[in-house]
Amino acid sequence: MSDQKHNDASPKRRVGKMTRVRVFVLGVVLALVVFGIIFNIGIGSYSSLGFGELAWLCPIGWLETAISGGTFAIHPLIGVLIPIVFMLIFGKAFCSWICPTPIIQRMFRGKRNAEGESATNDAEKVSIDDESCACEALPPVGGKRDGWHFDSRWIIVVVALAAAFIFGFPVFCLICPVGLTFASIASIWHLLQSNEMTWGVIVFPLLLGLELGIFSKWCKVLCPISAIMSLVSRANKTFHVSVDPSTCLRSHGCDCHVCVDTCPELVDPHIEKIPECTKCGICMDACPAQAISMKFLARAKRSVSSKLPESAEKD
Amino acid sequence: MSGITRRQFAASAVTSGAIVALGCLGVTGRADASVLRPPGGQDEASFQAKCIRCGRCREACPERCIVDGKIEQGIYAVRTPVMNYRRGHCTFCDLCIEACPTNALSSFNPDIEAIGVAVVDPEECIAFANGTCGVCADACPYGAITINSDKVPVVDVSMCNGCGVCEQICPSSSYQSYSGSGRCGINVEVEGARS
Repeated sequence: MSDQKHNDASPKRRVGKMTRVRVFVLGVVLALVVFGIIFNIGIGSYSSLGFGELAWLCPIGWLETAISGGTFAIHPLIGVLIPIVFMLIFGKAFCSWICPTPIIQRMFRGKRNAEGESATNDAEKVSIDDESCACEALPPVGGKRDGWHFDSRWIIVVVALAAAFIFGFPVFCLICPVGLTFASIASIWHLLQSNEMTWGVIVFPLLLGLELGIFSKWCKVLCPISAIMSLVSRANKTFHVSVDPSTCLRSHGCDCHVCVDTCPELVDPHIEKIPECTKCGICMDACPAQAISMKFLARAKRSVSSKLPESAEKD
Repeated sequence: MSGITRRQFAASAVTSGAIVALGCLGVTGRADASVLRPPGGQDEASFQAKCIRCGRCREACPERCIVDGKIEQGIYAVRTPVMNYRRGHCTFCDLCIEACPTNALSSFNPDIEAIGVAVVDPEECIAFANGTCGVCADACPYGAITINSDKVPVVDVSMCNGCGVCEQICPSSSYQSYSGSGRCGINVEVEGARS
């Protein structure tokens, strides 16, 4: 049993099913937008995407323009409701299913986790020897980013909104990597289309590379969109990853923590309150016992060890 | 509150500094902002407050006459929609206004409002050179251009709404009239921004 599980539990080598589905969806949505840029279909970019009058509106863009414009108008309100409803149903799924930033960041960072944390270390972490398996269920190890915290991303939220108020225009949009991604694509396409060279063709990708390659701290440390999303996701009850207590190796006393180690958001799927979870499914693919699932409504019965023991509780 | 490490604080401080710097740059360049906006965006301050540079209006325009502002045009213009009447002219179809998610482009009545105003450039205009051209006067859908007794076009400012047909169709800046200035014989400019 242990040898079999040991061999299966090297998640780095093969691309999991969830990852394939996720990258496919990301690719399709991205291709749609690029198509739209090239053929003037009228869809928009990730700041605002839709058909005709009905388009989603980036929550940060909405907040900035409401502040700098001094008004809460109906049309933008309807637009921003779309991502809000999306977040209530799917949590932070935008981050791993649609946003191009983690993909670009990974291009700079290589196979490691997008922001330098090693997603999985060696096979040692997964050692499931018979000798070390006690019979008592082990409590969850907990992830560094379980729960909701007021972290450095919120500094950027406050500064972005203050800048909109002070300077009278949405300043943050100029440096948002999502906006810069599409600014780069659009300016390069414009160059190919009309032979008109502008500084943007160089500056936008350069700025993007600076933000995501050299600093490479965007998603967890700086992104204000992700900050807002984790706040709204506190109310997200659907599609929560759930661990089957009967199959999870920790319930059988084995000190397995593959799920926590592979999680790009550094959360523990055993924990109930994980608003940082982006529903990426990497833990599902990595679990050596296939114990993790993501259904519309998680199973009502939770394992004994769904909460951290008091000694390990974070403040 | 969870601890913010020194590195995280430094990163957010640098980013905050960049945001503030860009904000200052944008505001100081405001006086020079003289780019033509799509219909409904003529109140520059209100437009700037709401444009999130999403690009939907640019994509929505069936005439393809909205383009992204360039960095060279300043922070206030970069990635925001700017009219380019070499590619097409505005038919006031309102698709850009519909597409705008933040109401940066609001309603526009082409009979009483204007995107800009057409201004004849005597140095480029062929009619000024040899009195043989009247294309813009014939083409103007609003009857705002007439050829006067000196055989040069004259714009009736009260009739012109800046649609751009004249600039698009102007045959100057070619062959013997080519000067490399990038300007046509008639150009639509922001009202009040005449040099």
